[in-house]
Amino acid sequence: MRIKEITIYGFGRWVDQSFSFSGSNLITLLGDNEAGKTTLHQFILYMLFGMSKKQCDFYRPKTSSKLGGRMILEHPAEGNIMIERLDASEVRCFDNVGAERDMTWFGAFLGNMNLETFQSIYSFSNQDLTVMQDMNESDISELLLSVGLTGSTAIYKVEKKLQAELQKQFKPSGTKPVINEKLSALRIKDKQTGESKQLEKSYKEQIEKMRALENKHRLKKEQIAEKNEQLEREKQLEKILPIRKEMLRVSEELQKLADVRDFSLDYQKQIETIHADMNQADREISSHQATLDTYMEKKQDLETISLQDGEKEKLNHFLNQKAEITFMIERKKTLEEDYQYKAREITEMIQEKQIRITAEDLEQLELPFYLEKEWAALREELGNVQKSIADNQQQKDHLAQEKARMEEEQKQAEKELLADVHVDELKQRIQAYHQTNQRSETQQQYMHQMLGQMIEEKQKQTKRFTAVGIGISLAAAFIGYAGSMPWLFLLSLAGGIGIYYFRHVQQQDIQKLKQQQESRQTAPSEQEMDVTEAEYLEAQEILEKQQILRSKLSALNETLRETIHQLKVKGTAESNLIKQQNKLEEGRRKQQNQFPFLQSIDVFYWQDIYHLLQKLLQLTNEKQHIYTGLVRVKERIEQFSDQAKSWLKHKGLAEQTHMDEIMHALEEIEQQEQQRQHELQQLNQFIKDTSNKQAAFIQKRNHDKKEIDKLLNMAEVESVEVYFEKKTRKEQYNKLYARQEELRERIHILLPEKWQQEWINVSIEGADHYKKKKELELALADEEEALEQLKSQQAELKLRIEQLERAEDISLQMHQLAMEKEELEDLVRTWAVQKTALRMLAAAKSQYKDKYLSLVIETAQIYFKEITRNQYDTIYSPAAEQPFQVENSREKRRFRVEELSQGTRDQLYISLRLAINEVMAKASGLPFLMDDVLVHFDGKRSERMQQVLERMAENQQVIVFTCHRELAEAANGEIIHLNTRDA
Amino acid sequence: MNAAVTFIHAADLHLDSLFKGLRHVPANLFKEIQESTFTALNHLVDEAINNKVDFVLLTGDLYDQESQSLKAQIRLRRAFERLADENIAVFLSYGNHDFRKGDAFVVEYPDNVYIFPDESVTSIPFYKNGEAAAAIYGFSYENRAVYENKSSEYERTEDEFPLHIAMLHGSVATNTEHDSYAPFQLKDLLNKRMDYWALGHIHKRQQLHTDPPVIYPGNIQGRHRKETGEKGCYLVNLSRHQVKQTFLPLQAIRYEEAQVDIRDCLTPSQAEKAIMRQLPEHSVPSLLYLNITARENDAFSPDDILVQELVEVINESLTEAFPWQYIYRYQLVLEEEPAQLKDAFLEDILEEADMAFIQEGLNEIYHHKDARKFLSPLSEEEEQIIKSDAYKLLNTLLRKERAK
Repeated sequence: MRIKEITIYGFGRWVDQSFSFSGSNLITLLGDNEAGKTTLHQFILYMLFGMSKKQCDFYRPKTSSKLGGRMILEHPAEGNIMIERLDASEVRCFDNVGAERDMTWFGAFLGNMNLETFQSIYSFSNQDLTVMQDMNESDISELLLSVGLTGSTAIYKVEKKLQAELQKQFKPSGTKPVINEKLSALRIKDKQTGESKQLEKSYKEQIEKMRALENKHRLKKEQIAEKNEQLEREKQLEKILPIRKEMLRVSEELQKLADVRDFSLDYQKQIETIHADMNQADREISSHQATLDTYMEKKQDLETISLQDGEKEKLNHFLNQKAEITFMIERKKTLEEDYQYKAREITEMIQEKQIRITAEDLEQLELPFYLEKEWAALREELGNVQKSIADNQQQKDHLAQEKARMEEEQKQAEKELLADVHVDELKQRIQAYHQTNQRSETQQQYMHQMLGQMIEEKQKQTKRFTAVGIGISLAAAFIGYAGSMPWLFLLSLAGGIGIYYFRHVQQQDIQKLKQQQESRQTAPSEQEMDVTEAEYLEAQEILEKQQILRSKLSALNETLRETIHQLKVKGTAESNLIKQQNKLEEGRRKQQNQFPFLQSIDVFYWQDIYHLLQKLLQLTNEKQHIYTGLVRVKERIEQFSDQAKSWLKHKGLAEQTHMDEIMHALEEIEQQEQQRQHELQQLNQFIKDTSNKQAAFIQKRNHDKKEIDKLLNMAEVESVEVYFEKKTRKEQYNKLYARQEELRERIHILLPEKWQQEWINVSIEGADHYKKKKELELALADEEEALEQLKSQQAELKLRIEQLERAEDISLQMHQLAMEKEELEDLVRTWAVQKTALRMLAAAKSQYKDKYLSLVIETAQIYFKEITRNQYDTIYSPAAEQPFQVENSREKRRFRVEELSQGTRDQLYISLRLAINEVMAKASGLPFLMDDVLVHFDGKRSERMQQVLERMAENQQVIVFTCHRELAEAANGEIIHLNTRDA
Repeated sequence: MNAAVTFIHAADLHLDSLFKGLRHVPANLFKEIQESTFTALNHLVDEAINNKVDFVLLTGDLYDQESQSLKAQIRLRRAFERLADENIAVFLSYGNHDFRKGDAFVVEYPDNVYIFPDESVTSIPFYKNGEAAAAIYGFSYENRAVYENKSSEYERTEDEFPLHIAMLHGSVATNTEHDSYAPFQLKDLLNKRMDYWALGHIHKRQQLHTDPPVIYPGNIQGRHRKETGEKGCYLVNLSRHQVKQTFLPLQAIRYEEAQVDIRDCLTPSQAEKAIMRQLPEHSVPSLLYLNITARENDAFSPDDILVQELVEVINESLTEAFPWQYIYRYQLVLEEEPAQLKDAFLEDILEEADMAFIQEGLNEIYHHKDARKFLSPLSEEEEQIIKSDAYKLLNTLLRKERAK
């Protein structure tokens, strides 16, 4: 098929232009750049395959609104065919005879080739050359498939469709597609079913458990039954235990009574009657005896209580004295009154006379008859002495006054003497000494004696006083100490100090007195020694002067001496008087000591006192007399009272102190005694009566005794007691025996037959039925509980089993699962068919590729070798991402596409296209269009190329678009100059 | 001596076993289908009671160990209990599907059920009204398979019994259709002087011999496309001199295969009517497998999608009918020009195509970790079918594509 004529109504720069291709199959369209080569190329494609609206707009001519044209194709079989297109949509096709045909027909006319296929086989431009170096295996196979197959689109579409369909159905790791969904649903269902099945499988286990439980249950029931039986037995045995115990006891007792087993009770009645009579008699006797005893006792008591003969006499004696005593008491009262009176009289008298004498003293006092005279004499003498003393004293006082006056005068004179020097004084003194010495030798002696006496006295006094003081002090101290009276200590201390002081003073006095005594002896000698001659002369003078004075003085002294002498005499007389007085005083004191009451009474009243005392003494005597009488009476009463008291005390009666009470008690006793005597008499009567009655009973009893002895003899018993004992025992025996039988019968009734032997065998001591029973009960309770548990377990298990048996939904699940599996199988089958179809398609494609690729490469190799003038002789088709490679024919070196020069690369592509054209286009023979592809060809290779094209043109129309004139001219074909045809 | 016994002979109950080929069945029907084996069993019990039989013989495969259905055994027990109530004995031998050692549940059956305990042939006596009436011989499968010929073990031992009945779950040695368990030769059986051979294992009802009767009662309920027609048991009245057997259909649902022709139909509605017209009619519900013959014509080109829609529409009305019917599957056979079936591109290519490569594509799903659990590996036959279907599909697709 070849293009014969082209008419362009308007297309790009071409408007109303037509080309006709004459006989030559190789047509070169020569034109400069922008001459419209490519546009024309496009137009041809447009004519053959149409164009989209967009493309149409692109190629719409600027000068004309008309887009379109027509083309006449020459086909060896169909003849000339015209295709006319206007714009995108309008298309008309006419066959050889001018009949219009549809586009399907036209498509078939073109071998069902589409634009792409056409372009990939028959049409290529320099733009396509660049694709070469990136081409890989799939590209080339796609290319081959697309160029080699009529309707490869359908294959693609089917492939796509299948793929899409498969994607919708299943993705290995998807969830959405139908099968995936089904799978996940199934997975869940399967899991559920599996679980359910697992549950169901536990059925067997449950059944086995159930059987085990049933077994246990049965066993447990048996155990319980057995235990129950045991328990029942124990209960029964326990129930009969008291009976058994009693039996045991009974049999023991029977054993004890074995001796009376054969004892006869034939005479029982008679013996009993007689025995009763005897007893009655005995009772009477003993009753009487008891009465007698009581009486006797009473009698005894009375006898005991009633007084003995002696006592009685005594009582009588007491009572006889009663009158006397009563009189005595009266007398005693009178005497007492008299006595009181006398005593009062005496006391009154004493008080009246204020005599310090008590009644007692009076009783002791003895007043001899001479006393009266003695006391009168004493009174008289004492009066005289006292008178003499008073006179003497008066004279003495007078003398003393004289003496004091003279001494005053003497002193005066001495004073005058003393006013001279001391020698005078001394001489005088010597003289005076001599004088004095001579004169008062006796006086001095006397003085010395006096002093000695005084010292002695003083010392004695001191000693006495000291002794007394110390004694008192010590006593005070001791009392203080003994009586814890500290103040006495102080007192004694003070006493001590006092004594000491006193003693000290006395001592000093004594010392003084001693000094006086001594000085009286030593003074003259001392004075003599001190006199000197001058002094003596002076003294002579003085002495002379003094002589007068001295004579005066001596006269004075003489008088004084006289006075003193008189005084002395008077003194002596006084002391004699005093001595006399003292003697009298002594006598008085003696009297006073003898009669102390005299102490407070002056001697002058002593005579009166004497008379008074005599009277008092008389009274006292009278009183004494009364008193004696009283004592006698009292003694009498006392005697009686003591006797009575002691008797009463002896009688055990309360102690009466009063005489009346005593008398009363005695009388009462007497009365009681009389009562008792009366009772005693009565008792004696009673005793007598009772004794008589008792004797009658004793007689009867003795009679009975004989009777009963006879009977007892027959009963082979010694005594009635033995008989009764035996009888009692026998009766007891019978009773026990009966009891034993009764008990035996009860056990027989109570205990079931099967345990009859049991109670006989089981010892009563060893069998703790209660304990056993309790144990059994406990065990039973446990067992029952266990049984209950088993029951509940069984019930539970049964429920579970029933649930499982009822759970038919498991079966339903299974069926559903099976159905869903079927559904899955269905889905998968559909999928599998489609998948297989897809795979088949892929396999077919692969096979197709394998088949044509080698052919294409082989052919391309020939072209390439030719074009490159044997430079390269082998083409390696791309394999797995590896692009084309060529091999240098001489060096056998391989080059990848990008290593080749642009020219060689173009030549390789063109060789490939030519090969594809040759191999694949055989059938169709469509025109071959080349657009500016030889640009990089050098002269020699262009030449080779021309040869190839020429050869190609022998089989099909070849249209070459070029801008190289020499190329165009090199070809032996028709050249159409496009430049000249500018519109 | 009136030594006749009446009994029912059934086998291959396959209770609760799974149905094959069902998909997208409406829930209510599905329930019924699922229950059908049990319904059939109930029918059996009903028949036994109604016919006042002496006993029931069940020659193996009462249920499937594979499906491990407790329900099957429980229902069976209930059935037995019903029979026990009527004082009907059951003689039971286990087959290859309910072999003893595979029993997952150990459901106890009532006392009226006599089970052959093991794989050695034993006899169980049957007393009718206290008199020895029949000796029943048989064995149970202990394991999944018994390969030896058990017929030799059948010997009349209980000679005092007037009747001798043998139960045997197995197949004739030549049979290739079923797994050849306990294979026997018919002549072996005939030599045993048994009065009746109650066979099991073959699901298709057949009588191998008449005197004495050697009978496969078939299964009592069809469960897939191939178990078509009536299914049931035999009611046998056996005496020393006479035997009378009657087939009693028990099936709850029939599996049927039907041919319909819609070649002359010009519209889908016509096709629908044509199909409806051509469907078989049965007294019990039926599951239909349709072979639809169609032809493309200018006006009407029935393809799978269209036919599927058609079948759905038909099913809608069928399932409403009484008794219902349900087209669970169909096969569309299109009459086509041979030339049309081939595409130029594929024509000369497929023979040399890399089949391994094609096959490999399926591994994507058949080796898929989730999918393979639920898919059985393709048999060669299935592969061939798939291939041919794929080829057809490709051709159709390409043709259609090119035609555009």
